[in-house]
Amino acid sequence: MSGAEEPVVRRSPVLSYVMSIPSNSAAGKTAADDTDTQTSGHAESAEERHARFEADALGFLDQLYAAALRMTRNPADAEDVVQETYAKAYSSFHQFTPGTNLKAWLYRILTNTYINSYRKKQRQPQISDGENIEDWQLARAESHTSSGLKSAEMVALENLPDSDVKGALQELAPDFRLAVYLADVEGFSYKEIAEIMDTPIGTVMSRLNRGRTQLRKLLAEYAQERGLLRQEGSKA
Amino acid sequence: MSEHAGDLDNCEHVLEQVFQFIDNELDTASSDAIRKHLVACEPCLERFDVEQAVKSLVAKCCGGDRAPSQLRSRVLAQLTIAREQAHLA
Repeated sequence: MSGAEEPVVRRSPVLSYVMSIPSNSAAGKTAADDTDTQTSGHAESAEERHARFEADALGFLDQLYAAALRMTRNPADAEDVVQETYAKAYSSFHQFTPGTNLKAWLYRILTNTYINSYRKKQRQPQISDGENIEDWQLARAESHTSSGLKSAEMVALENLPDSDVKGALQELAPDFRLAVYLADVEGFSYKEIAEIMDTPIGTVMSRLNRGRTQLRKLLAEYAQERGLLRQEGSKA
Repeated sequence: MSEHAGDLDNCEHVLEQVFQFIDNELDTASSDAIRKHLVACEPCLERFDVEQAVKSLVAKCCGGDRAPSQLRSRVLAQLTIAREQAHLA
């Protein structure tokens, strides 16, 4: 118990994580995004375009499948969504501008395909999203008075099995789930997510805010059920 | 509590930006201001750490599924057919 001015020595994941990011990092960018910078002067033949599609777009098969699996929540539908996505992408590939973000373009088609063809028929029970409510207050309202609890919560969360985390994400309403997935798993920027989901950036931020707040609550519940976190978390 | 270095208005403002901060969506000046606050404000730092932990957890646990090999075959076959149809057209 020395002075109150003692510096924070505990290693903070946030601080170390953020410090490791170059200031102009392009989180969503992968090597594959750069492969499509074909700048030939001549008009591309159908054959060349086909080869380019196979070389560039098929590289995202696993990623698109994983995303489709989170959207549809079952492998058979995920496969269908991905297959339909590739069919649509192939037929409109001539409209894709080489050198722009192929991955985001494919994700946009995937998202549209899912929304138009599958979401309607799935009729899944979902947590009401209440998206009209502007609730930036959510994060704020939850003040930070119970500080010891947060550390306990963090340790508990990190000990959850992968299946619980997947399960919690699956419980979110589709728009929240997708926004969180695109940001956290794929590392897309807000601007890219806005384009993929065809929605204003403010809506993306609201979906992330609400989705993550719900997700945290669900994860805490899972942790309590597993005895990783004591019940007192429910009291603020 | 007296250990709380920042004034509460400032904390409120900082907490509002927690997601933009962990998503690396803030400009350098705003991020620096937040980092400066976090170094002095343990409660805010813990809140940021929890949100970062959730984000990392999702990144670690929720992606990475591999497409089944028959899906790859189906997609390739479909592309071949589409190409042939384009040739005939």
